[in-house]
Amino acid sequence: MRAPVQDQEAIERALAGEQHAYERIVRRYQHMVHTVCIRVLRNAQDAEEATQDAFVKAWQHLAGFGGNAKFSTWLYSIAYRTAISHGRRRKADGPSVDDLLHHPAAEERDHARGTDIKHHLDRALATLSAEDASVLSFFYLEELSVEEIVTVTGLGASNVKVKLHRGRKKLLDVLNKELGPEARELFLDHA
Amino acid sequence: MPELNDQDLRKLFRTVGHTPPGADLTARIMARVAVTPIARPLTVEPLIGKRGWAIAMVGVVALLVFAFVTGGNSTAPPPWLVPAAETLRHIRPPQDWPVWTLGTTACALLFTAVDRLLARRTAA
Repeated sequence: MRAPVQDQEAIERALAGEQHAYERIVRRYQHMVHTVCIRVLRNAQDAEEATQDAFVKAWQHLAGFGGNAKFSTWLYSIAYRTAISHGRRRKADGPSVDDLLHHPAAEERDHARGTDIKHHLDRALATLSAEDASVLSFFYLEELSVEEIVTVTGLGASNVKVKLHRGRKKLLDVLNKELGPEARELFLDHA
Repeated sequence: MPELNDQDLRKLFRTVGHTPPGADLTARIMARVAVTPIARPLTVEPLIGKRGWAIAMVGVVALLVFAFVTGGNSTAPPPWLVPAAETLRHIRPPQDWPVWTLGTTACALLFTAVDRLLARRTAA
């Protein structure tokens, strides 16, 4: 599958030296890239740094994007590997969900929705390993196929399937345990 | 109240959506992009192209054929090789000039020519 026409055009213009074209790409994908980084790093500040690094790396290697794969998959791959590399450097093991929840942008949006769905989902995802949480996020949120997740993460197909199965089960267990019947109802009403 | 299932999980992820970054992230990224050059992939071309290899191969094959046909001695070559054999006979060095000297000289000339050619292509 090729990159969408609007991406392809922006990439070509960026390669021709138009940085505004790349800015359009950044605006289009920054939420997705930031979410990938947050799933891996679980820290808003580190995730923003990794997001910046991922976009700069993507810019540096833009000429190497062949256009044969989806641009988003290519970008996810850079973002995921950059976040993993940041995580190793910082050795920031263990979830810091509070940091996530107190991020100004996240708070603002949660407040706007008047719900704590995000709070519960983030807390439940934080009980999983960074890799499992990322795989679940790629599958459910970004709606990537198993093959695309393999491309992005570099994991084997069977490994991805195991992580999906195991992560899904654990996430459902945590959510079902943490939420009482009323909360589940509220949860589903919002969903 | 039933427990959450796989479909609910999908809905939840979609509802929660992406985690937005800080408002100035785009500006910070673009500030770094502005001072970062794009790495252009190197296009590596062979110094000796297909045509060069083809000519060399034809030359080697011709020499081998010539050597097999003439047998490396002065017996009469087949009629179609007579002109070439005559030419070679005329340019044959004096008898007291060792064959290895001729070979070394030819190699030196060949290497010099290839060196010049490669230097010119690299400069271009």
